[in-house]
Amino acid sequence: MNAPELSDPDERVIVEFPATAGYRGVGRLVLGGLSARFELPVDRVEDLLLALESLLNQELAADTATLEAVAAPEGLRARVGPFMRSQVEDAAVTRVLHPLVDDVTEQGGQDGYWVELGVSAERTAGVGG
Amino acid sequence: MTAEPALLQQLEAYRAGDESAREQIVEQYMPLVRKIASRYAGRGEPLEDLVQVGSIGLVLAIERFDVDRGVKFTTYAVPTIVGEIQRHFRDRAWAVHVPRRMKELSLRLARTIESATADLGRAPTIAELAADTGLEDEEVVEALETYNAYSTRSLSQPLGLGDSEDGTVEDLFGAPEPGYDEVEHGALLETGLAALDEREREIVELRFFEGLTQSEIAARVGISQMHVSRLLRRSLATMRGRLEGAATEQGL
Amino acid sequence: MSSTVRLTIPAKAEYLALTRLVLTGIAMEVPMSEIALADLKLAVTEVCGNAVQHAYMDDPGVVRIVFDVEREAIEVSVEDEGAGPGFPEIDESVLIDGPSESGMGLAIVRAVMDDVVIDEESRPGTVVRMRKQLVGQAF
Repeated sequence: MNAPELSDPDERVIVEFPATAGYRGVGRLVLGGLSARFELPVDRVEDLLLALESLLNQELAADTATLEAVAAPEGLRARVGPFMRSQVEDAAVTRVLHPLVDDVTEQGGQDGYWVELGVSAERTAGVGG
Repeated sequence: MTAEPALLQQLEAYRAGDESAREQIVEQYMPLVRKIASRYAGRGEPLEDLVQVGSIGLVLAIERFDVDRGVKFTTYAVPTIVGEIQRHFRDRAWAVHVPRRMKELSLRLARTIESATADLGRAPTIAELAADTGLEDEEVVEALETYNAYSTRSLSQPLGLGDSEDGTVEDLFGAPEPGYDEVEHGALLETGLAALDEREREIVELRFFEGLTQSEIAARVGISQMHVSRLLRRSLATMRGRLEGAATEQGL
Repeated sequence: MSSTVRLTIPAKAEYLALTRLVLTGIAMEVPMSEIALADLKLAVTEVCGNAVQHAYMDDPGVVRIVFDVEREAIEVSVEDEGAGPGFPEIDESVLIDGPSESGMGLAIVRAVMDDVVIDEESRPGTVVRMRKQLVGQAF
């Protein structure tokens, strides 16, 4: 993968799935599953999943969508791509993303554009299985 | 009616912090919920689902009932309960390939979110929901997804409400207006908004233009937070479809 | 015509739930009976759980799971980076000492999947490949 890496590769989860509407549930469920480890009110979890959904609605530069996520100490970080076009330069996209997550950044790589979403939160004491 | 003074007492106790008082009120009014739910039975939705949805409405009504308004609780509760059931019912696009158990869990979860939000003063975390419902974290995540999952294919299917009332979900929600094809680059989001019905538009505006949280929107609009989430997700998909259509028309 | 979903997780117990969530996601798109889904979750949990158990504490590495979804069947392969004894077959000693946990796990996996192949030779670590027919089942 050409895209630059998220912090803490030892705790990184990567899921790749077909870039079709029917498989988006895979991405949402994995990200939702990781969100459970944080003190995040469920409406903020829904916001994050909505942000993911919005991004997955955009045109991908490959047949497979990739979601990388890290449950870092400072919060949850998720990277999605590769997109055909820059997402942060699309006003309609950023208008939707910014209220939903705490930060949005983007990196362009050889294979396309990758958007990183960050949600700050504390980890839940006592991690479940 | 002797029921009303007792209810007011229980409400006072609940508002003062006695949670068991709320449970008593719920128990007392479940027959009302069942009666309302049974009116919608026989159209393809199991009665128990309708009762569960109705009970979400009841919980909402208990949270939001304003004693000082001088209105009877029943007068306030009935439209709230009916509203939840109708909204659920219109969402025929819901639940493609969803196991029965997941459907039930997600309805139970919707109700728990409402009562927990009232108790905590904020939406509960997944871990808190898991503890409240006795589910695993992963089951809560699945139930949330179940509630929000929908199929865009289903939007054009008949509702099955009977010959005189039948139509599609799109008919109910309002199809995009014909001839609306003014697209300016900066106005793309507004173009998308035109494809939504009034309720969806209000919720999108509250979330993205006024920055309210989903819980705040739920309280403002008078529906459950899970419903807000579902409407937002569907709205974004509808808007996206509209934008694609508009872009194609413009040759973009 | 098949679709592929790939999941890579750290070889730690707290990530096992994600393997089941991926299956739920796949089941949203590919119709399967509730029992088939439960069977798949059970098998994947056993196999991935085994990988997690045998990972090095200091350097757990990752577990890679590939789900190949065909119209009527699903193939799941689980690959770990190989620290421990892998997946032993149940053998005679089981009858004397009682089944080892891994032996029992494998018996469960063989019971719910149609075909299971364990490859411990061709690379460091273990690859378990399992297949399950989704159509033409009793329910």
